[in-house]
Amino acid sequence: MILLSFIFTFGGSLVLCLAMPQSRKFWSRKLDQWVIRMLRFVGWVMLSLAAVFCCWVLGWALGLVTWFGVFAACTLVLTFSLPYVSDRVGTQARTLRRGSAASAVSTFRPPHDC
Amino acid sequence: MKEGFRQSMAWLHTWAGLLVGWVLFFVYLTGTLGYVQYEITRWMEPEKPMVSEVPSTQDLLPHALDILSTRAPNGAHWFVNFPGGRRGTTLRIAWETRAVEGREGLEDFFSEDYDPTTGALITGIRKTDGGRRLYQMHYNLSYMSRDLAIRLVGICTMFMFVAMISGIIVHKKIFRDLFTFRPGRGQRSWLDGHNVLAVTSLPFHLMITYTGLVFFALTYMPIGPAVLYGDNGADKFSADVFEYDDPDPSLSKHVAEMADLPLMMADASQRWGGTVAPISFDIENPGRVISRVTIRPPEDYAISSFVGVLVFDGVTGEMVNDFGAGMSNAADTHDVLTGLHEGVFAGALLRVLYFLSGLAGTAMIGTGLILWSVKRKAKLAQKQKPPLGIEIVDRLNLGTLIGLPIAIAAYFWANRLVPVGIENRADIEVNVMFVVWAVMFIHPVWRPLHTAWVEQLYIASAAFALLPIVNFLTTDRHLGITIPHGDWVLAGFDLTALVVALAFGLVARHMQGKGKTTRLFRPFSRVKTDGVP
Repeated sequence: MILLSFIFTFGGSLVLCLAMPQSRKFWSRKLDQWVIRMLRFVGWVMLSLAAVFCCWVLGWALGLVTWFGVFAACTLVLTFSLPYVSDRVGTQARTLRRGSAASAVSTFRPPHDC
Repeated sequence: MKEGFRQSMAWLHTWAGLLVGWVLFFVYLTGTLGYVQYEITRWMEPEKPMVSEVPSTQDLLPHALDILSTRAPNGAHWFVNFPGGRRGTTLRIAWETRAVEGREGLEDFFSEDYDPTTGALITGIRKTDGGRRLYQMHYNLSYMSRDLAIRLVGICTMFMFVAMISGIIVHKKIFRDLFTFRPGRGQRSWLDGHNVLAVTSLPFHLMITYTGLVFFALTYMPIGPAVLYGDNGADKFSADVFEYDDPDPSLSKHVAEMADLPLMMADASQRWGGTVAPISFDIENPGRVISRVTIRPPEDYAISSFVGVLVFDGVTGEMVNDFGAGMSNAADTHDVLTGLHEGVFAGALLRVLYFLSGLAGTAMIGTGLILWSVKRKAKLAQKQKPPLGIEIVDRLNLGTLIGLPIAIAAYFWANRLVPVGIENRADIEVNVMFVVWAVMFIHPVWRPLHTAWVEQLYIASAAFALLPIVNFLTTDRHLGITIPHGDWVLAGFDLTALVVALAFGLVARHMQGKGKTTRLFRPFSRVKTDGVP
């Protein structure tokens, strides 16, 4: 359950991050407003669920304390690795787009400096 | 006022942070180590046994009482700590002698450790203050009276609180800062890093700073009790709050038969829900009319360290006080706040998260200090010599940010290398730490700044990397033994040292590679700074 909370917190933060204006470089085109709203909604739901998972196992008091820790750990790793991962994701997306399996990641665009 | 509100807050944030930043770095780092203080102490006392299957509390209890009644039949206060919790792997027995009439205050305190499986006394344990001393430094500092220290730390904590709140006001786009890190861009990167470290663990930082002030609220704000209680207000107030049900001390002369202790233990266990066994207990005035038995649940029983603590009448065997139940809301709030700060209740996972958040806070202060000097140097022309103020801040930064970790490593080295039987051994360990730290402050005065950074980073890396090797050469509690045995607390210490060494080493190589024109510390005029506030 705690592991699930880690996964949902990381996933939720990632989704929210992708909806941020500075994450444009990850997308090949400008996102529609409704996509951004959807991403934000999904992100918040995932974060809330992660908190609920923690409280489920540990009770409200310990659960919330633990979730704040989980959140800090996840976002620290996410934010500090993002600039390094984004280069790699860009390269992969470029390679994939040349092949036929490009559909899944076709919206990814390599950053300019890559 | 010509400036806007946010600019004035930025000014406040900058100077409130810089003024006490070095002390705060020390407080945050040693405080963070406090979350693993028992684990550090275990590493620093290699003579004690490794973790093992320990006999149950019920089996150990008669042995503990046997020892106490032979070693301290007239003791005024007995303490027993069972193995199995975080506090240690031994059956720890301690007692305080009874004061001789007319010589009150001269009571002696003794403590002994017994192997829980063989029941034998463990001798030759090196004298060390272990992790507890490191932890206490974060509010007691060192080489000064406790009163002065907690006032100094209190002032610094208040500055921290001011810096934090003004920092939040400065960065209105908190959520955006959360995901923004742009490396390799000089000042911009330091600011990004500073923001990310602050924002990701913001609830922790706010909690820890505020609750830190709550600990000594009465020292910092003595006016309340003084107004309510008049003269000697503080004493009367604490008598009201902390002393309850205090039996007449003159009755301690009258001998009485003790009630059955295992029954009290079982009763306590029942009240905690039936599955939890006591981790420790103490008996005031054992074998006397006014005997009081205090029984404590394991650390992770509740956030507040008072909830679950039960007091029994030692003669009748009845429960006379339940700390958790009889408390006012204010006292309860206070205990939960201080409990959150100490994190004693935290299990292994939460402990790691506490430790990470603490390190993030330490790094936040570190990056803030560096940012101050980086920002000012960016405004200098190429090759212009920085003014004295910046030079001083730079040296203090290096001595604190890298020098302090080196000093802490030296504390651990001293633990392994100072001869075991020597007098004042515990104090010598601490002295070594501070002497090494002083050297780390002096070192950058004689060396060019960049060279000094690279050198200290390499020293730090070596100091931590060699720690498991020194441990291997001096004790039989090294990785070759602790890992096969499955003692992950002891192994974890050595492994953490290696990870820390690796981190310092990587940073050192990175800086060395960049040479003297590294963008971390030298000209930023070439680096585009887009819209830096």
